[in-house]
Amino acid sequence: MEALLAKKIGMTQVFSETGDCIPVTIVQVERCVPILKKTIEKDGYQAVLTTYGVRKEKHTNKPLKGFYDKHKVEPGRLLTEFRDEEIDDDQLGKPLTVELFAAGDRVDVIGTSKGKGFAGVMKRFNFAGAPASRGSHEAFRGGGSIGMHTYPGRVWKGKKMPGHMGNKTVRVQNLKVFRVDVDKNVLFLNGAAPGPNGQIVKIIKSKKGGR
Amino acid sequence: MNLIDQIESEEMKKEIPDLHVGDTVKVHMRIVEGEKERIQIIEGIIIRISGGGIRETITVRKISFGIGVERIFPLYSPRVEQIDVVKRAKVRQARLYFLRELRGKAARLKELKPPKTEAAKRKRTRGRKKSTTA
Repeated sequence: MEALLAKKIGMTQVFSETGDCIPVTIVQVERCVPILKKTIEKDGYQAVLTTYGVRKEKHTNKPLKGFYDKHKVEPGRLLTEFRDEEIDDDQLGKPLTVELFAAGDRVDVIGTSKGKGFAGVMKRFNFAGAPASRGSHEAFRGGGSIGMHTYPGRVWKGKKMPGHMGNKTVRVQNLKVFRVDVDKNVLFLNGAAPGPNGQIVKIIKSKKGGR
Repeated sequence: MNLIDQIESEEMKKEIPDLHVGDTVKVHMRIVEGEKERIQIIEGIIIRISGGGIRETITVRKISFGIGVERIFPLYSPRVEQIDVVKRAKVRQARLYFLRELRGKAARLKELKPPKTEAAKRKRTRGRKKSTTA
């Protein structure tokens, strides 16, 4: 198993030994417990089901309680699968720690980006907008023309237009693990992770894994 | 104390003297040239203190061969070896950008004599308290 659920705490900066200032995202692993394995024979695909955090007794309904009791794990805040991960049977039910990763490893971080609402084309796709002066009027932040004339007589599919932005699952690839703090159960990742502070993100060993 | 503050305070390992805008300081910079490492001293006036915690930086202005030079030092960078305060000055602005316009004698600041006695300090704070209550 080379994957974790962790809470994004926020960003700060640290200095490396050579004096370089490094922007880091701090993620903390509070309680991340693998519960069960899904196998190709039984489920048609391979995965590890993992829970994160603590769920209060009063918020645990009976079906959930039954599920957690069956696997002898305390109820968690959320349940997530890690596809194509492997785990030994004796590791199930034991909390995962940041020791899975070492400084210098490359990881991917998967989370939900901050919702930006209905955004225009300048914010959403970095369009240039229109000139602010020299006789231009009304269309300052517009996207301009969206097509041609009789041919094709329609708007191309995939045309970039205003719409909902953010609040999507985002995978940031190939972040370097700058430091691992085992005492605090904290990872320092070199770079930004998606979503607001306090969000639970998935941390997976980088799939492309450049060194 | 939240986790970020905790981590930042752990990173702030160095002892930094009490710095103010207007202070003339000597910054000992560690400079690595290939294999060799040496200390370079840059002396000038602090014209800006910006950021807080581990992000705190000072901007030091000096006149080097007749040309004004400004350098920004992150206080907690391991490359900043040591900071000495040479003298302090009386300043009324938080940012001394007006020094950029001035040359020679005009670009001096009125020096503040460093040893502030305990009695003088107490007097000042008492006066301030009185004014707020009145």
